[in-house]
Amino acid sequence: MIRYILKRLLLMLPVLIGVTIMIFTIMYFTPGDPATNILGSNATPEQIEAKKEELGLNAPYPVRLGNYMKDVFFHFDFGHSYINGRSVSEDILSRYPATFTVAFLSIALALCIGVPLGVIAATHQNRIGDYVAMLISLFGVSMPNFWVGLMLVILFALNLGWLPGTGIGGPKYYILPCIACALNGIASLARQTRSSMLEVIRSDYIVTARSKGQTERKVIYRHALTNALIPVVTSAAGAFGSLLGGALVIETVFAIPGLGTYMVSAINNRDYPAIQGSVFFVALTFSLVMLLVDLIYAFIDPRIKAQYQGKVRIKK
Amino acid sequence: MNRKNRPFVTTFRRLCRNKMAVIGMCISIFLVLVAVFAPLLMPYPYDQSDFAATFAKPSSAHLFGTDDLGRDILSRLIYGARYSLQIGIISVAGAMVGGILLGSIAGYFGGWVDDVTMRFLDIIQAVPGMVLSIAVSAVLGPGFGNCILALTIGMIPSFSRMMRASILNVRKMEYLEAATSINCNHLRIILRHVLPNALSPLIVQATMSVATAILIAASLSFIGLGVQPPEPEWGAMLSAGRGYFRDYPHLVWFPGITIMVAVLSLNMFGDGLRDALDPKLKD
Repeated sequence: MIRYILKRLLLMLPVLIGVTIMIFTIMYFTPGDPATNILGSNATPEQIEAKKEELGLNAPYPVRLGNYMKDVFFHFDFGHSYINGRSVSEDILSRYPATFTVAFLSIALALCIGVPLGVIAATHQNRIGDYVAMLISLFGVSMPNFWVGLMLVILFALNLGWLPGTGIGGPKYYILPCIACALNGIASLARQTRSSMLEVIRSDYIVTARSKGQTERKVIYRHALTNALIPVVTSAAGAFGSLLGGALVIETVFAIPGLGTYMVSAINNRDYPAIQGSVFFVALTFSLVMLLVDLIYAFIDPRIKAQYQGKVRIKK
Repeated sequence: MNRKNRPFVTTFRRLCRNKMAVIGMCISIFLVLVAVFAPLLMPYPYDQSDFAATFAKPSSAHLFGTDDLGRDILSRLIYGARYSLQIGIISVAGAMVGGILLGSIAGYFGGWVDDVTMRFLDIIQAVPGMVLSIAVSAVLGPGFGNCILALTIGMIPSFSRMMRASILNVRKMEYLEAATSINCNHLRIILRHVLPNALSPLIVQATMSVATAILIAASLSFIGLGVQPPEPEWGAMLSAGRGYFRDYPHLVWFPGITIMVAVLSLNMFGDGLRDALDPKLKD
């Protein structure tokens, strides 16, 4: 198992290198000049030239890319912000927990609500429970999450005054952003769970389980759900990706000092190192989650586990 | 000609038996018509300010109220349908073309071509679609065209993968062997024999993707990277209304509901289409 984890971690490296090259390259070809941006339009050409030299913007593309890659992968250094000169990696690390907490709590919430909702829909197929659950999830996937955030602020923060609407100051502050962020995930996981459960429920081993007199509860949760979970885990990983993206947008609504607000201000200021660093971090998180999902597969699907543990490895 | 149309007719019949899908289809068609005939339907010009009636609550004069500059929200939403639907449809069409191209090349030729393409897509997909669109539009700058391009790039990988998977499914079929044996060239085999057999999951994916694209476009505009506020794109309207939503919630109510209705109808239509194209999945 450990060998498998190490192998997967190693395989992540080319992807991350690729992402870094890709982001650096598209930033390189971006029109607009950071030196002019920093100094303002009143700067003389000499000043701009000096600033460019200082930032290392005059070097040719391969040299700059090489330097950047060296810094990122050997020193974990994403350079310094063009705007305030602070270290990008420090800034990101200080803002990262807020974003990650929102995304993580949201996916947890989505799993806790979405999966049971899907099971209810599947076990009550074509009955009222199914229709209600599917209607909820259909609305859930269709609402822009930042808009849901605004609506929640209007209702719970402004009208009822129960919860704080902006900023981060304690556990209470995470409730509204997480609900807003989780909604799409809840809906898509419920839909995925339903269709995967429906497929499993019809299989022979469920009939066997029922015919040997197993209680319905055990049939559903022990026999059906465990087998239906594999595609659900896959889509949970995808959902985490979109939740992460959604969390970046949600932060703007709730004024959370996280990666999203950092990225938006970096984009508006053409602060390339900050943009590159943020995207790299998101990709890193996402790749790690994907790795985690592969490990979870092995945990819930004994067939896969056997493939990596057994002495006889199944060859293609 | 008649025989060719038959699968389409059966699919359509099956689709019509599904109430949700029909409702979704009707609303989607209605929205497209609204977008096309927007200038005729708008009660006021979408950019006409009325400083005597700023922040007006919904009334008979202004059905959805007015915004901070006294512009009629209903008119802006009607005209905004053009932006949102165009963004959704064009970006998905672009992604579909790109995806079909990449996916069929990778799937059909296999070997190193497949490996290189797939590794490249792995890299793109290591960044969640939304974040990729944010990054691309950060590079390209805000605006209508750039927003479409950002969305297209973000969606190409999933279409390519889907196309590749479909092609791998049909590649070993006898009819392809037959086509090769009568000396069809690669292009003809892909276009005439592979593509039609791999198309139905792509069509479903495309319908759903238009919905997703509209949502992501709205998010991009909301954080100031997509279409910019004076234009009545739905997300941009939400972004502009955000400053006043504490006192005048109707500024954010209606654009949000409009986005939801559009996305909901496309999703309902897409769900129905999937069931109609692949009856195995249903019941």
